Amino acid sequence: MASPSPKQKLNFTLTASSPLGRHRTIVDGASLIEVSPRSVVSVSPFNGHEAEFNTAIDNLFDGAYPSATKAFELTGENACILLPSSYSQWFLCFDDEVPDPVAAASDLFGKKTSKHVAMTDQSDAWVILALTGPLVYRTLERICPIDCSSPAMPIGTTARTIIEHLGTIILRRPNDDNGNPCFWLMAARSSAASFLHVVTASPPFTLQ
Amino acid sequence: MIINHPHLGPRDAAEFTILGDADLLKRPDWQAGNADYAFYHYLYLRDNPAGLHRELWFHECGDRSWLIVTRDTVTHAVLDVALARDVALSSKKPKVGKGARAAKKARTKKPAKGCIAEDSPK
Amino acid sequence: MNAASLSQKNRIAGGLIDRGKPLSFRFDGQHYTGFSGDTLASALLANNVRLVGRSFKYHRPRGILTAGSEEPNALVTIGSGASEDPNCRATTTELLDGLKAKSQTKVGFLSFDLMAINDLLSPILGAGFYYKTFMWPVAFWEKLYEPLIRKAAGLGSLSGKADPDRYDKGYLHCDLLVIGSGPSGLMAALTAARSGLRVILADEDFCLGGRLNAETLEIDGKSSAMFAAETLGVLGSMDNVRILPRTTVFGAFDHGCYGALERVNEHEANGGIRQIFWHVRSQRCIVAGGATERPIAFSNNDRPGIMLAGAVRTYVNRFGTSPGKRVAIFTNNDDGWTTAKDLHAAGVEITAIIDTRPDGQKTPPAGALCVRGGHVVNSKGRLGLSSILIDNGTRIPADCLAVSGGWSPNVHLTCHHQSKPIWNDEIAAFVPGRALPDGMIVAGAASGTMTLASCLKDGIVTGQRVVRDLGGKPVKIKAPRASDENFAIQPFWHVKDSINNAFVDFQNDVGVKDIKLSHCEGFRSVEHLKRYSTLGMATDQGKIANIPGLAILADISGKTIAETGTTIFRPPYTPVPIAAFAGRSRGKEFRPTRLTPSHQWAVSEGAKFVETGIWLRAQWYPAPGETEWRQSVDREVTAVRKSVGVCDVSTLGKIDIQGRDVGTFLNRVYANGFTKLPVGKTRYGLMLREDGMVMDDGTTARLDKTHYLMTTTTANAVAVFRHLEFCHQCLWPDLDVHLISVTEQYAQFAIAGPNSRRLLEKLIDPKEDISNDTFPFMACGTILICGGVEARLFRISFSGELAFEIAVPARYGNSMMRALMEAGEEFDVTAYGTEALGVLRIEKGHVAGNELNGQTTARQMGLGRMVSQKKDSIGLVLSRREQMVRDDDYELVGLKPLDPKVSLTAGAHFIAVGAATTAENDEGWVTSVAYSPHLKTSIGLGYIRRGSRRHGDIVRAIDLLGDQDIKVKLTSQHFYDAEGTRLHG
Repeated sequence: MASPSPKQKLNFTLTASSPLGRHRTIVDGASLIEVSPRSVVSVSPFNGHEAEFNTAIDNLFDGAYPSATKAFELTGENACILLPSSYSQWFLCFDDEVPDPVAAASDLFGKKTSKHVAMTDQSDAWVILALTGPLVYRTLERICPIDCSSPAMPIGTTARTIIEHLGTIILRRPNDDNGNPCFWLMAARSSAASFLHVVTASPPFTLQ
Repeated sequence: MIINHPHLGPRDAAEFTILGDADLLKRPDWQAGNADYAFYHYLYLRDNPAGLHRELWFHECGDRSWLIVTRDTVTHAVLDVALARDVALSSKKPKVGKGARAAKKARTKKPAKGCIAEDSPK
Repeated sequence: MNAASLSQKNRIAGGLIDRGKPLSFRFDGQHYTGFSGDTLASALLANNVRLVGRSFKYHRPRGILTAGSEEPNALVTIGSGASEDPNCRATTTELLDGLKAKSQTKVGFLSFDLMAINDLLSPILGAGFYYKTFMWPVAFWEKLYEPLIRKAAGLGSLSGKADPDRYDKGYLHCDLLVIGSGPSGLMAALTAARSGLRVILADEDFCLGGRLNAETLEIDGKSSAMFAAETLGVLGSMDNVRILPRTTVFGAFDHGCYGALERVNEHEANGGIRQIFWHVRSQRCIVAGGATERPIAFSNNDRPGIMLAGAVRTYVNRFGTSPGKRVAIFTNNDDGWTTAKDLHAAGVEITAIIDTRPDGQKTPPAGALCVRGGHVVNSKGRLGLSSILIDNGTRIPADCLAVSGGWSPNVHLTCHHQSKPIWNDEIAAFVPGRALPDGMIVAGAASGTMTLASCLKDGIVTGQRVVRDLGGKPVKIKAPRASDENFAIQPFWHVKDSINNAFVDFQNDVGVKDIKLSHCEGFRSVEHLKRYSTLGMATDQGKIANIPGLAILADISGKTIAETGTTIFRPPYTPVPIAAFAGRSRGKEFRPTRLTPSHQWAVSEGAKFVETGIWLRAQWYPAPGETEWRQSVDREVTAVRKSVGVCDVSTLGKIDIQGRDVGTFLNRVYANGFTKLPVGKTRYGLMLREDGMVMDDGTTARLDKTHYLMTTTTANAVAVFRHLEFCHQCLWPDLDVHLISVTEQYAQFAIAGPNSRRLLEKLIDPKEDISNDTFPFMACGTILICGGVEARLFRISFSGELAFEIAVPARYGNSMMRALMEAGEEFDVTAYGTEALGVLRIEKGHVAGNELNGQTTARQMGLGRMVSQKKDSIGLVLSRREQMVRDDDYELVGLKPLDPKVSLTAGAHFIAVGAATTAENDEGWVTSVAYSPHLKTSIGLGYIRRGSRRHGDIVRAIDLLGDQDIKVKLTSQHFYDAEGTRLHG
């Protein structure tokens, strides 16, 4: 077949969709709102370049040292959250969607440092649900094996655990305007529907 | 069963998968004269102790670190949990690879000033 | 009209029931009334229903024996239809309005059970009877005896319908778990909570307080029940306390983990959650589970109306009902006298007190005959006690006999880690041993502290100890004012030489004579006694039978009780339904489902889906008018080879690997070489297990100098990633390698067929060039499509056609599929599913999961030369083992049936023509089959000995299950385009 004639050459554009179609469920005592999509980039310094990577982190995130259990926030222009995901690996989660997440992360660290940092775009890999409200512990205690209570999980703490057979990242966010606790729950995009069901089948979303 | 992760604190075993005896770390030299026997021994011959056992566990649904857990198979007490990577590194001589040499250099560097110590688990 | 429904003949004043809330219920079809706060047992007793069941083996009439979860007799079925719940203990069943209960283990009526004939046959139905009888004729066992025995056996029956109730599980964390809300439990919880610990207080009852609700003791000048209620009120108001009523902590597991079953809404769930299985993780645990009373064995000691003494006063004090009008007491300890005192104070007639101890100062209530140093030898009243006979020959009228053989601390949880309890002569009972589970302490009666004041103090002291243990500062709590009752006991386990059956295990109908028989036949250890006689093996797990049983065994063997010991205690403490363990993991929710990025599009196209692990993949896309799957699949396969097709291949594992040592790393994990892979190229990779078997295959693309992307099969993605992490962290931690999964990040589509390039060219941005020169076979790289969207393109082919795979961020999954279909319309583009994907690769002769089953080697697949002998790689050394390099080894071949109308079956085995169909003659097996529209015949791949040298041979493919015996011709596995010309176009 001959190559398409000029008048057959159509312009195709792609439309994006979020993992759960911007899901929102609000009941008495708790709300579950899809926060994805966000630009997320994984970063991991090459061997021998951990020191300059740590320095970059220090400079960006108010002198904080990378921690296996804490997330750090950068406010302002390049607002993002840095959370530990694995050994010597973090996720940078931007507040806004940026057109080229890996490039944005590289800019943040600086060209010189970025040359020795392994980065991947994770923006589409995760569904992020914000679970907020005074009754969220009732939800979490049914599905989450780790202790999410305030003394064990203060604001800014993050953990990777398993929720109903699904690997999940939990992040304790700042309380909402009414002082109610808020958690971000991140799970793999392909199981978003199953994950949503896991949460909404728990109290107070489902009557007991 | 609870595994006390060195960085993350006590976690439920449901977050992990188990591989087996920690002797799997000691992979034989493929070019040694008795490589055939050495690999056969490495893969198949196991003690089955009633007592202390060093095991490899993978924190699959956690931070994906491999851990060496020393566990008493009779009482189920977990006596020690270490990062497999640390154990493997301490028993190795430096290998070829630009990355490896640079890594060795970096390990002897002190952390940058102004840093607070990493959180230790409860 | 039923007079009984209006009266509750045995009600007396007092109790914790709420007479303002009457409840109606049914038992065996009869209507009755009870009150809120009743159990089914207390309400039945209030209505003078004494006969509640028949025993398991002998079908003897039985009544309510206890007031707790140790109940062996009063097992009833609650509910109807699908909600029918057998073997519920009436003593722990909370009475609800409209409750329907029926008795079990009878044929006919409870009062006239046709199976009662077993009782007459009891001399030959003793322990282990089925090993000695029903032997002849041999044929009768299977056809007659076993079905009969099976029908007669069993307690209760299941409805056979799906369980309509919902269950859930949950996870709780605390500093201190207190098990039991009696005096010591309450004080321990209060002490710890006031000292700042996070406390969980669990009790199996719906009304917390333990025996404080069953006694008429005084604490701080008020009733013990009032004290309990007030203390619970204080605890309930504290933020750091969580109270779990109706919750049995059934097991002490490793490392401070406890299993607990909360009966949220038993028998009245109405679509709500019925039970929750809580995983509790606690730093410390205080077992304050109290003690359980035990009976004494004598002839006919199991008649309805013969009950435990503590239970009798529980019914009077807590439930405001007297189990009888004329009550006699039989005891070997002081506690039995408390029942006499309480009943007398409540206005119930005590006809006699028989104390086995010859000396004693206690004063019997007025009018009661007092016998010291005597014992009960028999009873009368088959359907309900009417009188008892004492050893001195006196017959005493009684419709209720309260028996107390002593109290046994509930040590069970302390023994779940194989600690052995210790015999204590002073209380004639076992107390917790020394090697308790980590973090566990015992308080109160469970530890052998049997009296009120000491239990209250013990709770405080234990609570303070836990606080100190955890580094806190314990508050000072003044012990409430209470007195210690008397507790003296002289062991008396059974009346020797009983002429009739003297029962020890009521639920399994095990008597003293069975214990004697066991011992006589050589089953002399306590563990053998249990299994041979079934003592302690019923749903009550011998809570009131074990200790009397082993004491009697000790007596018979001339050993001490300490020497005899106990059987091993195992979870669960009381039965837990399987549904509670399953929780919400049922049906579709059993495991999560993974959907591909183009799933929505596939659904809108009416695709038929298949489960691949937990993924849902489009199997084929039926076109309008197609009714048979073969029509769709044949069409899809043909379309790909003729023009172009699109398939979602996002499910394959994609592992991003970056660093300066990735080439070295890949060289070690793959059998073939990877250090020289140039940037912009993809290479097929063969991955072995360390034992030399093929583990997985895939491709790895080098996107940049230090940036690679590995693909794996769908099924092995998780396992391969785990393996790579093992290799990196455990074997070669010094390599500069950084791994992360990007399976989820990208939607990936295979575009295959002669027009695949033309289709793609319509989507790529103007500056991009994917001509054969610029982008040859096995090329890879990033590319801009659809107005600036960055994609990754790979020129790889699974189908054998000119093909590409394009990866875009998953958010574009559905949109990309639509764009491909729209752009491909002029080429009659066809979406194809996993079925067609399979046919195409089989036609091409590519190995996949069926060939890579974990038991096959590279050599067998014809890929032996891919295993480099010049470098170390996982599996190299062991792949060279003698048996794995045999000359007559299995080798991959293609096969076609001689008769093209015949369909091959995967799994069929190869046997030579004319040879017998035996395992010795088995030469191999068929791994994959498909109908090839191209060749118009069924084709297959398989392994057969020396296969590569037997092309053209005829053998038989035998499927014994499907009764198939087909002649096939062996061929090359490359049925289609063996030279690969279409790939390189």
